[in-house]
Amino acid sequence: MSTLDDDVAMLQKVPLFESVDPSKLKLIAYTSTQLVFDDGEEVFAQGSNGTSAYLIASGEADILSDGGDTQVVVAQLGSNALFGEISAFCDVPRTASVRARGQLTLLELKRENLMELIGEFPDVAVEVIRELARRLANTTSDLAHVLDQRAGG
Amino acid sequence: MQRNLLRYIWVHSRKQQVWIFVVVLASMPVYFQMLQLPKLIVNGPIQGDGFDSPQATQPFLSINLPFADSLFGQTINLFGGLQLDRQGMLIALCVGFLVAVALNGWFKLYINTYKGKLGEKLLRRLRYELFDRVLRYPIAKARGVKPSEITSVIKDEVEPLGQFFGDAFSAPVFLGAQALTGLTFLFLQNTMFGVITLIIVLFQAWIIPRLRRRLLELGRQRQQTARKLSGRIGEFVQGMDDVHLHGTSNRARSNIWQMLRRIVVIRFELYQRKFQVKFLNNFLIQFLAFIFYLLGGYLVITGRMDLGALVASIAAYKDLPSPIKGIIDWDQQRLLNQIRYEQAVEDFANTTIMPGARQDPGETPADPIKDGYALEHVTVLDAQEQPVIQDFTNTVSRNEALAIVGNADSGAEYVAEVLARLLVTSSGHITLDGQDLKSVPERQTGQRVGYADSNIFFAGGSLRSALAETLPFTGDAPPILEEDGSGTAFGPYENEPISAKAGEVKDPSFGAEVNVEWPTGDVADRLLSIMHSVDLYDDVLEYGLLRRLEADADEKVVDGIMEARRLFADNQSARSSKGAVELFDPEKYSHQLTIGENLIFGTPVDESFAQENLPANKMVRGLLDEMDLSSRLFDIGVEIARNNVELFGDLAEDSTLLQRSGGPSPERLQEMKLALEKLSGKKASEASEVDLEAMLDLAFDYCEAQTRFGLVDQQLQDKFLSLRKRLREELDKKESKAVAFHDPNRFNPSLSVLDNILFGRIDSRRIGARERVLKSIKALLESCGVADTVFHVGLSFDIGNGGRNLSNNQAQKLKLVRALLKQPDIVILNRALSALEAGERMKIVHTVVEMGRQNGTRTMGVVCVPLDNGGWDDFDRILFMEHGRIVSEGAPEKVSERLEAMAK
Repeated sequence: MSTLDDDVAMLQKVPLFESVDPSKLKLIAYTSTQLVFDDGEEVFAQGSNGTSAYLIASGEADILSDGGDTQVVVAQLGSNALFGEISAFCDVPRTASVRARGQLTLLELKRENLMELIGEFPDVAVEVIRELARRLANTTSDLAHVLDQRAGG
Repeated sequence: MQRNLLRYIWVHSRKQQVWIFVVVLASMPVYFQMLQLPKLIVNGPIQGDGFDSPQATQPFLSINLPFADSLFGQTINLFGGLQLDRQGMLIALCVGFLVAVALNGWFKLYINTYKGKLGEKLLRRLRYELFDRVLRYPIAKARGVKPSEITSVIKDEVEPLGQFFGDAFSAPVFLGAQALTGLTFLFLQNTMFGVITLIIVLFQAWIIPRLRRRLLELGRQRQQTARKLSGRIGEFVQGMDDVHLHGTSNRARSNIWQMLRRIVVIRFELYQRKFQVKFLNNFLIQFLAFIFYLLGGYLVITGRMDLGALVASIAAYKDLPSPIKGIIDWDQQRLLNQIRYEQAVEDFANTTIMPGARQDPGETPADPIKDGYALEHVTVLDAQEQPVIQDFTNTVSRNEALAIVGNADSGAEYVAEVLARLLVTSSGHITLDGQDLKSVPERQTGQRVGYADSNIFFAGGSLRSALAETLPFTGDAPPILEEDGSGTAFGPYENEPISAKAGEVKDPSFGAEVNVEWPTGDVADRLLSIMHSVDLYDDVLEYGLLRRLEADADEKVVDGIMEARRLFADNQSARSSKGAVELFDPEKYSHQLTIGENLIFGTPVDESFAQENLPANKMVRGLLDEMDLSSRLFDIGVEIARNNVELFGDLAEDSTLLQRSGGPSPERLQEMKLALEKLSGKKASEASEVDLEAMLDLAFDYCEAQTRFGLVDQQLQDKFLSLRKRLREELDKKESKAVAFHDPNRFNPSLSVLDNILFGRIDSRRIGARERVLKSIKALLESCGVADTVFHVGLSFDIGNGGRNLSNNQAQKLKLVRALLKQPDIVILNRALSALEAGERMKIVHTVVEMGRQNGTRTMGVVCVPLDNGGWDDFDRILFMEHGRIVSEGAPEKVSERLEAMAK
C-alpha cells in the first residue's frame, strides 16, 4: 500500500508537477483517489467526456485509437506516466481509449481539485503554465520540423 | 343511522341504563344513613338523649314495619333490637357509620365504574359503526373525503360523548326526583314559598333555552372549525413536498394561524355564554334565598308567620338548588352532546352506503369466474358530468387476452377501472357471469380478479405484510356490541414490520395465517416464480442480504450462509483478479479498517466498545498500557494532527478543496492546531487525560487505506495483532458478549447476511467492485441453495409509511405481484408499471400475458390498457377507443393497419 509520500515522490517525477512545492503535491496526492483496474478493464473510452487526469502508480496501460471497427494500440504507458490531462484542463472529449494491461493502479486527479489548487496557490499555476508552454513550444517546433520535411521531400 | 343521541343511547343500552338507575336507587338508603348517623351519635350517646340513668339502655337496630301506622293503625315492631348502654351505643353507632361510609363508597365506585364501562362500550360501538360505514362508502365518495377529517370525527369528536353516555338517563331521573321532593317538601312547609319557588324555576326553564340558542350554534361552529383544522393539517403534511418545493411554508402557517384564531374567538364566546347562563342560574336560585329571608323575615316580624315555619321552609329550600343546578347542567350537556353527535354522524348517515351483504366474506372461497364480464351501453360520467365512457358495449372473457388501446382521453383506463369496480356506471349494465356487477359480493371480485395500476401507496409494514394483506380474509366482520369489554386477548391490528428471524417464529401480530414463516408451500413457490417474472426477486434478495438475522436464526440458514462465505472466499483466492475484497483475517492487520476496528476486530455490541468510546474504555486502556502501546498511539495521534495541519493549514477555512478532500472540518483542524502547539515534543506521560484521549481518538480513527500517512509499520501491526488477541482472551475470560468478533468459522449475528458472506471489506479503489461482488454473491446464494431463504428474510424489509422506502419502480411491481399472487381468473393491467422503462415494462407485460396460458389454452384472462406501442401479437383481441367510444376491434392480424398507423 503506497503512502502519501510515495505518491508525492511519484508526482515529482511528472514534468508537469516537477517544480511544484512538495507540500502542495502532497495535497494533490491526498485529494486524488487510488483506483485499481484488472487486466483488460477500460479506464475510459475514446470520445467519452471525462474531467480527470490519471497517473500510473504501478502497472502498464495501453493507449488505443479507434480505427473504425478495430482498436489499435498506439502507445503503452508505464509507471509515473500521466495521461488524460488535456481533458482535465479543458473540455475536450477523450482523444483515445485507455485499457489496463495486467493489474493497473492509478491515481485519479480530478479537475475540480486541480483547478482549486491552482486557484489557492498561484505559484502552482505558474508552474503548470510554464510546463504547458514548453509543451506548446515543443509541439510547434515539431510541427515546423514536419512542415520543413514535407517541403524538402 | 339514528339521528337523536338520547334515542341512540336508549336503543343500544336500555338494560344498562335501567340497571344504573336501580343501583343508584339502592344506594339511597345507605346514603341517607350516612347523613343520619352523625346526628344520632351526637344526639344519643354523646349528648345523652334517652340515657338518663347510667344503667339506661336503648334498642339498637330495632326495626318497625314501614307504613304500619297508616295501614294498620299501630306500630308493628319486627325486631326489638339489642339493648345497649350509652358506651355500647356509641360504639355500635360509630361502627354503623363506618359501615355506611364504606358501603356508600363502594356504591359510588361501582356506579362510576359501571358508567365508565358503559360509556366506553357505547363509544366503541359508535366508532365501529362509523368506520364500518366508511368501509361501505361508494368509491367515489371515499376518494373525495379528507382522511384526517374522517379520523378527527371517529377519534376525537365522539370522544366526549363517552362521558355522557352513563349519565344520559340516570342523572336526570335521579336529580329530577330530588328536585321534585325538595319542591314538595317546600309546598308542605309553606304553600306561598312553594309557589314563589315554582315561579322562579319555571322562569328559569323558559329563559335558559333562549339564552342557550347562540351557545349551541357556537358549539356547532367549534366542531366544524376543529374538524377543518385537522383536515387542513393533514393536507399540509401529505403535501409537504409542495410546501418545500414552492417555499410556501408561511402560507401554511398563515392558514393554520387564521383557523386557530377563529377557534379561539369561537371558544371565547362560547365560554362567555356558558358562564353567563351559569351566572343567571346561580343568581336566580340565590334570589330565592333573598326572597325567603326578606319576605319571611318581614312576615315573622309582623307576626304573620311563626319562626319555626320559616326555619323549616329555609331548611327545606336548602336541598333544592343543587339538584336544579344539576338538571340544568345535564340539559346543557345533553344539548351540546346532541349537537356533537349530529355533527359527527351527519355526513356518515347521509351517505348511501353499500349493503353489508356485499362485503360478506362467505364460508368458502369464491367460485372461479366462468365466462367473464358483459358490458351493455355503459356510460360513465366524471365529476363534471362529462362522459368519459359512452355507450360501451362489449364483453371481457376470462379466456382471452384483451388489449384496450387508446390515448389519454380515450377512456380506456376508465373501462379498466369500471371492471375493477373502482368506478360506477352512470347508465348501462354490467354483468359478471350473468350476475349484475352491482350485486356481486366483493369477495368474488376481490379473490378472482387481479388489478394493478400505477398507484404506489402501501400501508406501512413489511414486504411480507404488504403481500399477505391481500389474501382472502375469511373472518366475519366482528359483532358490534355483544362482547364483554374486559377481554385483553387482542387480535392483530397493525402491520408491524416483523423481525428478520429466519426460523421457527410465530408472530402474533399477524394472526394465525401469516407469520414470519409465511409464505410456505404452494404460495411460496408461486410467489418466487412471480417475483422472478416481474424482476423483483433480486431486489428482495438484496434487502435480505442487507438485513441482520436474529441471534437465534435457523441453523440450516446459518449453515447455508457459512457455506456461501467459504465458497466466496475460495472463489476470491482462485480468481486472477483477487483483491476486490479484502477478507477479514484474525491473523492479519487490515489497511482497509481503522486502527480501532483492527483492535476490536468485530462489531461492538456494548456501546463502550464503539469506536468513539474506545479511548475511555478501561479494558482497552489497560491492555494498551500493558503492551506499551499507549504512548505509541499517542505519538500516532500527534503525528496525524501534524500531517493534517501541514496539509491543510495553509488553506482558507472556506476552501472547497478542504471541504471536498474528505479532510478534517475547519473546527477540527483548529483543534488539531491547538493540540499540536500544546503537545508537540511532549511524551504521553506528560499529557493530561483529556489530551491523551483526544490523541487516542485520532489514532483509533486512522485508516491507512484512506489517509495514507504511512503511520502503521510492520512492527506496529504485529503489536496491534497481539493486542487484538489479548482483548479477545480478556473478553472470553469474562464471558462477555460486548464484542461480536470476526471469526472466519462462525456466523456473526450482528453483521448483515451480506457482510457475513463477504466477511471482509470491498476495496474502494475498484470502480464497480460493489456491484460485481453483489452479483457474484447472489450467484453463490443460488448455488448454496440459500437464495430463497435470504429472499425470505428480505420479505421482512420495512416498506415504510405509505410504502415510501420502495422506489416507484418496486412499488408498482409489488402491486402487480399482489394482483397475480391470488391466482386471479382475470387480471387487469391498467397502465401498470408506468415507472419502468418501456423495454422492461413490455417484457413484464409479455410475461404476465404468457403466464395466463398453459399448454396452449388460456387459464387466466388478461385485460391490458397498455402504455407502450407493441407486443400486440400476445393478445387475442384489440379494442381501440377514442373519446370514450369503441372505434374498432379485432384480432391483431386483422387490425394491423391501424396498429401500424398508431406506431407512426
